[in-house]
Amino acid sequence: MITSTTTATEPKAFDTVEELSAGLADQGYLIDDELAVVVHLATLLDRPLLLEGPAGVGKTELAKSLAVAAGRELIRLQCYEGLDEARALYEWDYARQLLHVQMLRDRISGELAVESSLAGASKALARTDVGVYTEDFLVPRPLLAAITSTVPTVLLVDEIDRTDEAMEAVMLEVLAERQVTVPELGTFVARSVPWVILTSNDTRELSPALKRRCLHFQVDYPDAERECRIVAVRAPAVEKSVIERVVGLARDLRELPLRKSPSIAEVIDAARAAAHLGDGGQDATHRRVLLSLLVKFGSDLDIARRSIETAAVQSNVQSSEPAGSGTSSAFGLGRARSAERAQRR
Amino acid sequence: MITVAARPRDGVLDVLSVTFGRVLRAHAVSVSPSEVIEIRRVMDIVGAADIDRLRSGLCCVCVKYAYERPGFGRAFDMFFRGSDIGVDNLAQPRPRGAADVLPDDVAWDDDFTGAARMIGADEHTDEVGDLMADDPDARERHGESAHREENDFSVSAGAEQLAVDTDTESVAGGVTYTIEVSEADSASVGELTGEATRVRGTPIGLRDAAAILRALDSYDARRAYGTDDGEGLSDRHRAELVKALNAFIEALGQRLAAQPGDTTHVDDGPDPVRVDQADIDRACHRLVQRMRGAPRRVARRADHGGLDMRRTMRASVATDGVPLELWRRIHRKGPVRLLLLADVSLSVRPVTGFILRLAQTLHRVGGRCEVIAFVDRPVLVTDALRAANADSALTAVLAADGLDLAATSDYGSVWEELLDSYGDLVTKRTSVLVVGDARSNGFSPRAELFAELSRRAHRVAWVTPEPARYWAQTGCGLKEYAPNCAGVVSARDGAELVRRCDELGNALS
Repeated sequence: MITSTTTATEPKAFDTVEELSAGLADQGYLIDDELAVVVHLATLLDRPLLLEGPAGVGKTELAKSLAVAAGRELIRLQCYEGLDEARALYEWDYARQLLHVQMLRDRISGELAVESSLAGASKALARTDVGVYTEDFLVPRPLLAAITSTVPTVLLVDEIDRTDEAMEAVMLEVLAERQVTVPELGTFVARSVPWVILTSNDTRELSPALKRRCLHFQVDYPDAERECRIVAVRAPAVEKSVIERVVGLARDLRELPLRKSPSIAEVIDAARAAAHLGDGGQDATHRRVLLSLLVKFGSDLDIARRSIETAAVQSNVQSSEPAGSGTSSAFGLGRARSAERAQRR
Repeated sequence: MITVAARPRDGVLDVLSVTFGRVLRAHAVSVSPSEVIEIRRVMDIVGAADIDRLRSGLCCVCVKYAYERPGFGRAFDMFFRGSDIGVDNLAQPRPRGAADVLPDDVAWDDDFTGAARMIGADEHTDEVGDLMADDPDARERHGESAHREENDFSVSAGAEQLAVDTDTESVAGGVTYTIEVSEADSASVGELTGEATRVRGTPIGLRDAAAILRALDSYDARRAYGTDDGEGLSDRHRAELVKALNAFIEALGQRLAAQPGDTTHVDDGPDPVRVDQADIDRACHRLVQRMRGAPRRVARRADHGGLDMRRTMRASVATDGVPLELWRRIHRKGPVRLLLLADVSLSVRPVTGFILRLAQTLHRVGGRCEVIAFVDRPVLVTDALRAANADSALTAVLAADGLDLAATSDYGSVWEELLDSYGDLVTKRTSVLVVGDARSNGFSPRAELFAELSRRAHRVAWVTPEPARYWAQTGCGLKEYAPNCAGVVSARDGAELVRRCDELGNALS
């Protein structure tokens, strides 16, 4: 869990979608038109925005850029398996409470000394407010911090699909009512309505109750032209032709059934690397080096290399084989292999 | 925060939002009343000046799942752009799959066994078969259906009659008769087509006959494409078929000519393959949502469960050795680990494509999913399936090394080899989903091995394309396997599976 804060400037609201897009562009985030409309609506309707999509398409970055562009404080809750209320909502500082009681021990003993019986002393103790359950001993975690913050905030609940359903249920009250109930103290209601952005890598189906409370947007990889612009903004020193080549390679890789497709951040790194390689990654060896920046699993690397080699062979050899349906050719292949195996036996 | 300036309430927007909500529901996008309120707010804020912007705004409010997106698109286009999607056509049950793109006057037979034979078998087989002497008893010996029951009686001419003598009835609970009317040689839409009608006891009187006729009249021929018996077409039928095919080719040519630049997309309503894929996606989402992995014990600060001394003592260090935080070991659902066993033999070929697409989607949705295809021996096809896209799933799997598609199904030897070679895939945390018809063609079903598999796994469930009344037939081992399954579900396509996936998910949990 990370609670990070940005140096908030004067909070600012976006009157139009164009204003929002321009504000984010100033922070180096080139937003998709459709997503811009959705983010703008989320700020107008005060509804949480759930962004789903593969890793590395800029979901988290959007929240960060939005916070800076709007001059709001960013509070981030990074979800993980096993996240519980104590790490997400609030926690009592037991050590300080214990210390507090120990320091008051002599004073409490003195006051209770006047009671003649044990039962009387017990009742007197129950009546006495020792002062351990006050806001002083409450450690606010990101959700409560966002609710009680005196300045406008952007609350980023990152990778919510990593938590379990129980944690989703805990968040429902925060998301829908914008309040947190602490049994010992009462209910904290938001002083300023936070803009809430939830991200999910879609590794798990979120509960319908959570989805119903959010605006929902499926973020996908940007088109080639926008991706080139994004890389150009983030890596201004790289030539345009190199960027186009690396983006083209990444887009080809995304077409393959990889365990993890190249993210935009990886494409930016690859573009920087390609610029250092001299020829912009045109050479076959350099392309393999670029693959190590874009592809992160051994099995994926095999698939990617095979695909690149096949593409190279296909471009060299003109197809002269008789055309046939995929299924019939597949049957021929399977049958041929079976026959070979039978012969070997 | 921007506060939207208070304006006099616009009643038109109320009506529009409610109506649009209804249209969405009609297109399988489930919007709640609170979402209808959001629709109204979005209409109010965005307005209809920029229709694309309105579409983005409404989409983020209404669409919560990927499978709802196409439905939303159609509803939006119909409501705001006035595009006609042919409401009359939607009212009728449509054939699914490739048949949906054909004109109505051509019957597309998905179940036509000859097609499967042509795909699966050597292309010379039929020619050799033609050279052999005609065997007049072959039809009777083999039967028209693999699932034919023993005492079936066929009426093939108007002169033959079937009567039931109820006096000889000796069973106290009555006798159930199944009357199946086949549309022998019908080639035009609207004629009688095969449907089983169950009647109980008592002689067939006028009222019963009228009821049967009513049931037959209400029968929709469209649902029965695929049961047409293609043998013995008369010249008239053949001429009609040729005429229909010509009309189809002509219509196709016109469509292609109308769009010379773009031949990949023909806009004639929802693409049936995509709709089917949406069904499968939806089924998988629901299935994975319903499924629970094998429970495991994790340490949490909770009110119940056994005390975790190590964590409690460690936490008490901060509080001077006083164990204020009690850590306990509680049961939590574990991640879903699925093993899918898919029969790809000829007898279930009509559903093989669907099964594999289901496996592919499940593999995508559930992290740990292994897929084994089998006919007479199991072959791990997980990698082949992962490397293929939705359209080429069948091709990729059927081409897998070691899979002999011409072999005869033998579930017994499959279980044996599965336990020997792939035993490590079946653990107490694995949910096993078997897809197949459990027909071993006379080989021993080896139910004891299946019981062993069931014992090793967390849960075992079965999806069969056959309805329950065929399970007890000779040659079908499902009756013996069923006691070792947590659930047996009959489904032939995505829509049916969507209806049954809650049951399946519970069985696998």
